[in-house]
Amino acid sequence: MTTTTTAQQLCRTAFTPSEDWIEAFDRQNTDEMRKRAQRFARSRARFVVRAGGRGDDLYVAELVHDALTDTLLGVCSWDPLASTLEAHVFSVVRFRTKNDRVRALRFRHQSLDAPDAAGVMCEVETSLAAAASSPSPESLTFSAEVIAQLRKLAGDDVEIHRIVDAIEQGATVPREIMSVGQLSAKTWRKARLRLARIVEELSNHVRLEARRHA
Amino acid sequence: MTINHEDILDELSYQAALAEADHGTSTRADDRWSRELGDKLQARLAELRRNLLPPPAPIEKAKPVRRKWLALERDELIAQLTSITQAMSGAVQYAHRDLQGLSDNDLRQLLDLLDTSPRD
Repeated sequence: MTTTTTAQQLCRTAFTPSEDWIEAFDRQNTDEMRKRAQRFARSRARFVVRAGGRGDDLYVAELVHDALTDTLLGVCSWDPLASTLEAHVFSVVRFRTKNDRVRALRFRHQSLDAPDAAGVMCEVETSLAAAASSPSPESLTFSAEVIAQLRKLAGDDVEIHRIVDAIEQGATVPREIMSVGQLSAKTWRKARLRLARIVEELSNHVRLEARRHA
Repeated sequence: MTINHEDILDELSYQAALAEADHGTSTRADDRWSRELGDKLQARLAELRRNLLPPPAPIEKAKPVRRKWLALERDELIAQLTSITQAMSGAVQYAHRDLQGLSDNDLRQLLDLLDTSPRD
């Protein structure tokens, strides 16, 4: 008899966290944290919608639900000593929405009869595979267009342009963005909020465009 | 450092999402969803806690009391217990200081437990 080990079977390996781990999860898994994660996921879902992917309420709920349950199942490993549960959940949601976006963009540019290799892979492997692949030239062109649109929507909001400039120069954490963009902490907080509104507006533009082309 | 447009857009969206988490508002439906998810996660946490407990010890069936103890009356049983405990001078201890609370059968079982002689 031959035995085959599928990716799904590998993902189901028993996870037995320590008592301290369980306590840390229990303590940090608050109502407020879940609602913050949902708001975070809702905003990130707009990023997927822009690429032609899903972004409905069910998708948003799934993102947070899956990030937390996959952590409890050991599919996504979390070290309570290295980061907070919230930071971990945010990074899982970020990772998955980025992959969903890459997949959605790829789907836009690939023929419909292409075999879907991801169908036989578990979520983790799919995510890893998607992350490993570099974006296609079409995706990069599309992203450049979206950034141009974002700048257009920002209009004469100098601080938003400074944030985009700073990120284009490689700044990733707020400290770097503030330093490169020459923004005070207060200005940064306010500008980031305006950026969130522009990102929201941007996804509405995409929906309107899609309706116009339908 | 070279950063592609896809990464720039990802970072912009990430910062926007952090702002949304900090300053956005939740609806009543969001509150309900969060509570329901919390309940579901609690169930899984309880399961993980249960997994940490040692497996229950197998229940050992009590052996039948030796015939010699079955034949004794209450006074004789107490006398036997007293003599054993005195003979072993503190090497044997049991939880019951007042043997009045124990039934005859309890006394027989206690004696049988202390008895190291081979069974019939």
